[in-house]
Amino acid sequence: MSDSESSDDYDSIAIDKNEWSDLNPINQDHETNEICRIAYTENFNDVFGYFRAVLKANEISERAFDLTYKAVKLNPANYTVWFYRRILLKELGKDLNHELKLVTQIIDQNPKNYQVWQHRRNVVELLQDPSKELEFTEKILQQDSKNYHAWQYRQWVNKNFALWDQELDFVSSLITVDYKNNSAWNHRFFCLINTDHSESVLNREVDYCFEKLNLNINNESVWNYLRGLVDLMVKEGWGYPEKVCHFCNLKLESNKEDELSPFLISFKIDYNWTRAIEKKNSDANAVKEFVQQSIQYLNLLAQKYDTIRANYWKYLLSKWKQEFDQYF
Amino acid sequence: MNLSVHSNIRCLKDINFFDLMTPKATQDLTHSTKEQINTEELVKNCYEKFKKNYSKDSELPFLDRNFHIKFLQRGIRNLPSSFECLDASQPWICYWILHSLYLLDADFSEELIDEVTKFLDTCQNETGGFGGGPGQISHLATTYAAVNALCTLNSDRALKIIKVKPLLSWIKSLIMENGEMRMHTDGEVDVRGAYCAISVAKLCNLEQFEPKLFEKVSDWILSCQTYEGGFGATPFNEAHGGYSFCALAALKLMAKENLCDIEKLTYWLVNKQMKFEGGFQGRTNKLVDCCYSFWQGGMFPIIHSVLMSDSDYLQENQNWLFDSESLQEYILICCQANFGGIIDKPGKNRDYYHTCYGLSGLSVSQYCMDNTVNICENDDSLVNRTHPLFNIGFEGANRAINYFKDHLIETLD
Repeated sequence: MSDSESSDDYDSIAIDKNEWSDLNPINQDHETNEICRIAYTENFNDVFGYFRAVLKANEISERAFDLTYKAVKLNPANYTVWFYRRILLKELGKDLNHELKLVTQIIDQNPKNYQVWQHRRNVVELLQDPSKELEFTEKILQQDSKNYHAWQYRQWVNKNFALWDQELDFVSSLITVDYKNNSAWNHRFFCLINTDHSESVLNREVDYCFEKLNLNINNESVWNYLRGLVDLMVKEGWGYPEKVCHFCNLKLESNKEDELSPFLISFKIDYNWTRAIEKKNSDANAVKEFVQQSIQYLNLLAQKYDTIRANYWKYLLSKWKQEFDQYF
Repeated sequence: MNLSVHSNIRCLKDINFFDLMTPKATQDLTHSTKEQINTEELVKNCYEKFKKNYSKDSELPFLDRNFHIKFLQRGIRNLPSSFECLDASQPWICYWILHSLYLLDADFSEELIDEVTKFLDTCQNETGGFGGGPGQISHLATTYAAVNALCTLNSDRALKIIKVKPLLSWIKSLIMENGEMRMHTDGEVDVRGAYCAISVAKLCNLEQFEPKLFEKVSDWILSCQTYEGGFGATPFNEAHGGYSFCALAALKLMAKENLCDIEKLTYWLVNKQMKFEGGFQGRTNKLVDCCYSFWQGGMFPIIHSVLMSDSDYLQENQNWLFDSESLQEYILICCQANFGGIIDKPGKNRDYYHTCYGLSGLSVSQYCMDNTVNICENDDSLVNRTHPLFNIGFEGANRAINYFKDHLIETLD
């Protein structure tokens, strides 16, 4: 492999037309076509003109392989080139570890591009070697801790190669740095589901949420995660965790303006709904309390604490009225 | 000051409007919070500038149709070399521009219809589907864009070029055992694929040949709903506006939207509207972006149709479950570029993608059931109505659906 492949200079992407004198490039028809005419630069036009010819002729060769490199450097979003490059990788028996190095560079330069991540996945799948993958995604996430492709790719690595050991620590460190990193919270839930989510673990996770909520009560990421935990616990048959209810009541009763997060309030309303439905035909007094508190909170949300969602809070009000109209 | 009907605009009527901003005197200096605060500052500047301008011109705000149309019309034919990065997305460029022009009620000449039709045909492959340009293999996203663009032309001679049987067999080849779909041969799997395929299948009546085509796909889509309530790209990926729209619209097109947890989705979704900015974010604790006006906003008509069957309130209520006016404020006051085009957020550059989805979101917010919502003084700021599942005009969608139903015999080889 030549050194020029690892440098970004013009020579590595410029085409030498002498090398291609036996093939006619297939150019975009800017004569009879009047739509979407991109003013291609000369080298771009040449590279893709020859690429189209190579594709059509189904040419399997070293020069075709080198050409695909130039093409993806010029437009990494050209999925056809990546597709053909993978065919060449196989047919020419290319060194996949070298390919991994290459795609590492290209992802680093184009971290939000779909094709480069898919290419990496294809290469790693062929290599069946995940040893660099967690470190690599961590590096990308250091540049952008919410890069969707990176998280998606990491989840695939975790699941496909059963690599779970580092994950909880990894995700906890990201949450410590930024407790509003919703991607990290989502990943945490993913790890939980795929590893130990016994009752004691989920209880520990609930405490973890309380810890983060005590830092900032108005963090939607934590409230959503907490809802996820509670749903899981109920689904597994362990019942609604009382300490969650207790935590909410404590915060609500503290009556401090800045403690009244709309997420806290709607969490309680949701809890009230579940309980009220449960006790609908057995405990009228309890239901009445749930109904009254929920109505009061929904009105507060619609009129004062979360007015942009007034239409939604009013819709929930109508649902309460519809279901429990005897208590009105 | 002249308090006419439309000065329900928050920055005009609400003295506490700027109190909605994230408090700065906080111990929370996480990256997420800093980013949010910075964005709010830029948005605040827009609203304050608007207040000043309004005091001199009470015709504000308005949709700057002429500038937008000029910006769009330039792009349909010639594009600068900076568009090399979209060389594999040429049908998208056509769709973004044509759909925006449709929303702005601009006419398409017969020549343009023929030229676009001819061009998109050069992107079509004999083996079915459309690629990102001539000589590119077919891709579900570019196929979706090409079909939508052809439908937007609202002409039978545009629809005629679609090779239906190859399209079907190519789509079939992308459906995997477990119902997931690849975007192209050997390509990535995510829920966009399902939406693109199902959307195209409905418009081109592909199910006439194969009624159970997407049978396994719906279950796979359902598995993409997360604990937050939205949908991710693949199972367990973070809930995201773009993927959520794809999931819900695909389910709705298969009449399976009620199989997901609609209540949970709705709760997640309503919380994606930013209480100060008025626009939508794509994911929890991330920033507002005008394109989500459609991806997120566009889910509300679908959700409404599900929830209203069980709710007298929604049947009588002529509002989607989000704040249409605040969304319009964000789009019209903060996201119109000076000389045409729509932007992601203040400080960003205009592009055709944000123009398309900003206007599409505007359309959703302006039309609710039989009701029109318009923060502007003049009906001139009303765009045309978009179909909330395909995101093309209703006329174009209906024409296509009827055309491919009527042309059953001709399309059979």
